[in-house]
Amino acid sequence: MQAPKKEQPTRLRDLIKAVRACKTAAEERAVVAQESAEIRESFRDETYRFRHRSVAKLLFIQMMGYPTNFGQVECLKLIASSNYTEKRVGYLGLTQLLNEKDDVLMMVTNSMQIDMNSSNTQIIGMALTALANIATAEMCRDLSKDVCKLMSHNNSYIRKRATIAGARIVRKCPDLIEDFQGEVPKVLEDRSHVVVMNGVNLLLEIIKIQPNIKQAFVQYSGLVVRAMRNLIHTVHSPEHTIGGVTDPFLQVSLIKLMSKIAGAEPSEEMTDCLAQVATNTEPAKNAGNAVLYECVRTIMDISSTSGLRVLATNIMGRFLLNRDNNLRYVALNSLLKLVKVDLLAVQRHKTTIIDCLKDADIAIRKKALELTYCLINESNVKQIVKEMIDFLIAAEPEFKEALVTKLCLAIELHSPTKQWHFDSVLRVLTLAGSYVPEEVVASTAHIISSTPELQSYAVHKLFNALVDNTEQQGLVLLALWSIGEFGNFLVSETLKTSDGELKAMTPNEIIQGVEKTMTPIAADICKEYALTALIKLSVRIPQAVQSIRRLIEQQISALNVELQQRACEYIQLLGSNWDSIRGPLLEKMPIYAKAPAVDIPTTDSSSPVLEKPKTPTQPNSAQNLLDIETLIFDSQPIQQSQIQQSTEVPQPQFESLLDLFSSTPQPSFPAPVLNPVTGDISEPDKFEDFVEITPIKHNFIAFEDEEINVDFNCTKPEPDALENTQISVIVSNKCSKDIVGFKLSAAVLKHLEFSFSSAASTSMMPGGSIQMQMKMKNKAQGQKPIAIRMKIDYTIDSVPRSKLSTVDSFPPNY
Amino acid sequence: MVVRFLLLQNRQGKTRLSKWYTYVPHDEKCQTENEIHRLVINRDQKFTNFIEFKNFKVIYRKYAGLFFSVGVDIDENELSIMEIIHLFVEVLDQFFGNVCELDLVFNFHKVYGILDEIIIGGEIMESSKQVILNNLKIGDKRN
Repeated sequence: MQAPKKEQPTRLRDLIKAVRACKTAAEERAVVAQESAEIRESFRDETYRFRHRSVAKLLFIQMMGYPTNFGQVECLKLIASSNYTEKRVGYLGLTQLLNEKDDVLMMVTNSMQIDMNSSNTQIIGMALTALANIATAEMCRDLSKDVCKLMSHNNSYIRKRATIAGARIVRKCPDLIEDFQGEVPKVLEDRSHVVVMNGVNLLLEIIKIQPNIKQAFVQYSGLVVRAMRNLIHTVHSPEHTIGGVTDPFLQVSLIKLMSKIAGAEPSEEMTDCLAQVATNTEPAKNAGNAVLYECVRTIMDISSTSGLRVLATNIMGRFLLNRDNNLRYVALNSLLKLVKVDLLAVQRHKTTIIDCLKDADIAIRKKALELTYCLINESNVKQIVKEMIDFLIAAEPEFKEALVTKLCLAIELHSPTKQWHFDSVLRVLTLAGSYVPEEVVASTAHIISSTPELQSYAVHKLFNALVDNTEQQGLVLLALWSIGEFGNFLVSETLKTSDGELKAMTPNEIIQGVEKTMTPIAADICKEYALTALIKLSVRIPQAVQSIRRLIEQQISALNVELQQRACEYIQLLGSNWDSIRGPLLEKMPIYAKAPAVDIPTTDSSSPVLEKPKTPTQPNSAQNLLDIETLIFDSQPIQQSQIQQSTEVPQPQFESLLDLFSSTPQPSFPAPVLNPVTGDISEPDKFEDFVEITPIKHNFIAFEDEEINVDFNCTKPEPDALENTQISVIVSNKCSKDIVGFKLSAAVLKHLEFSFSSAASTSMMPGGSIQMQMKMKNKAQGQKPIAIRMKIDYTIDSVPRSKLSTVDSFPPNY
Repeated sequence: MVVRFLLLQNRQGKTRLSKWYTYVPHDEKCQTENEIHRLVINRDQKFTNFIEFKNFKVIYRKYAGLFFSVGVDIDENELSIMEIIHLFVEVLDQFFGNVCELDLVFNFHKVYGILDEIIIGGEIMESSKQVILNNLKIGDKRN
């Protein structure tokens, strides 16, 4: 163990050794803590001789990730020292222990200025390096003049550092660009080509910050081309030659600059120069390839001649065939750029690009996928999609998602026939159904429903796929939907297709197939689809009603409220008193207009596809709530207000299902979003115009306190009936406790009518939320605004809360 | 600015050098260093030396058990960065004479000095090995 007080502090070497000897992380922490304490102690002594050693040790400690802030001021002291070694350690500490957000940093400005005017080139160099690495905008401004002056210093050791420091200054203070712009021609003609390189980089930095200044530099294009020529032709000092290429770094910088200053039409000499580089550069080593790659990038950036572009494409073609993955990666990357200008040139490399899809390296595969996608057109879609599907089999989950998305997009955009479209999507669903975006399932459903000649084939295919594989959710959903809609084809038709016969099924087989998707571990959404499929099958295959009833009954006790409710309703619907209406009620869904899922005013993004087309249920005036006046002026308790949590099943004594929504004694009814049945009966004709509309949206916070937050997301679903507003009410729990028994009641003024749907749940975990739907009809739309009086009741820790609020933040003419 | 940061890590993830040319808070630096180590350590030798990472790109090279990783903008010339890393390694090798990890551990402060002769402010400053080594010698003589 070390003695607590020592004459001579631990040497850096010994500290490193001590840390290396530590066997556990705890031991290491102890050594570092002890050393840090000693260093901190030593800094108290102003005349301490080993300050620089302490800072060096701190550097090591910092590198291991421990805090070292207490050493910052010591660095400043060391920098101000006249001792060379101390100054050196001080500057190193400055760039490592401090960052540009530390306030102490500006205290070094003065020392740096003194050092920049030192007679010792090493010391000037240190100050410039520190400025380039860490200076703040304020420091840059203060030292800008000195740096500018040093750019013309007679020693290249200083000039190159000053030029890079200049790049930092313009980055931090763009208004100082002018000061440095004047120096540019001088550095571009500097006799040291390292200074030229730094000058070019400074110029690139300036152009990056102020792209509109580019024009001012077009005049240097001759200078740049000449510098480049000199590099290629004259034999330079071998010390700058790497891999047979003269100063590749300078070449890369110059070529990069050419792309920026080429102007609308690159000069002939620049074109010649690029052509020369492209043909003559030695491609055997990485350095040469770096130059070639930069050259190709510039050719693609500027408006090059077609000859030059062919040259570039050929270089990339060579890279693409190389065994070195790095070269293939950069080739794919630049072809991705080229594909936007010259699709045909890239098409020639199609086979190689598709091959890259099976590369072991995901970086290559991702680029290849992007590129392959760009190459797909009507004529090659069949071939490329087939190959992409082949790769899907072997792809790992991480890649599958990207692949599936591109694949589905390609199929959708370029499919030559609907049958091929369906077949391809089916294959994708079978292989990776869980990765298929919901929109694809929806749009495929649309294709099936809008193509009568495809329906029988599709439902057979989907049913067979489902029987083989219930793992892939996307497949399960689409299959269940089709079975529900077109299940009659399954029993009645045997189909002959190119790859064999699709046999007709017995009712029993079909029900068993559906049953497979309803295992206890299946996702709720699959079960929801299955329930709806079953109820629809009850009219398509009347022989199977008994098994259908059995399966639906199983879900009556489901934990999921939605499932439970649906099952109860469907069981009621199977009762004999509904016989007359069941047939028309469970008709096929009408062909709905195709619209991207996002445009449909859907509030529940997970709501199943077949239930998307919502019916605007016109609320009956009988359902009207208590007048807002009575509520406010008579201050009576809200009695008639709606209670939204009911999951009760409508009683079957009603004459028709429509009544369910008009004159029910309990005004609450299930969310129409999740009820395909209502979608079929009430106003099927409305479907088309309903989905095509872009709603006028207005979102705001209706109520907020420290415990809950009520958001109103309003849309106008029908442009020709602007008095109707669809409001999605989202209630979120902001506190850290469970909220139970949530109840929202509301009252409105006479010119308003509204109806309310139930929430899926009445309780919210901390951070959780529930959602409700409200439909509002403003009979005086344009004259009177919407206002709602809300009463919110809930319980936290068995303490009931009750809150009242008036919501009047709707737009005036809503 | 070409180089956002340069890291030198061994197989176990111990940082032997970390130089940042952009402002990043301390904790985020440590986290990024860990993440990068996890990425590079698992890559096959046949793979590209490029990793797209967050909003930038990491170009790495492996020498014996040491990983040199450089963070650059997404559209940087990757091959040229590979060459910069190699230049740095060659200078280290000549400076220490057949460099090994222990040289870098015990002379980490010198390694920072060497780096400052090649890259400052995120830009490559000098590409000639001779010039770099000469400058280092002059700098050390005064020591």
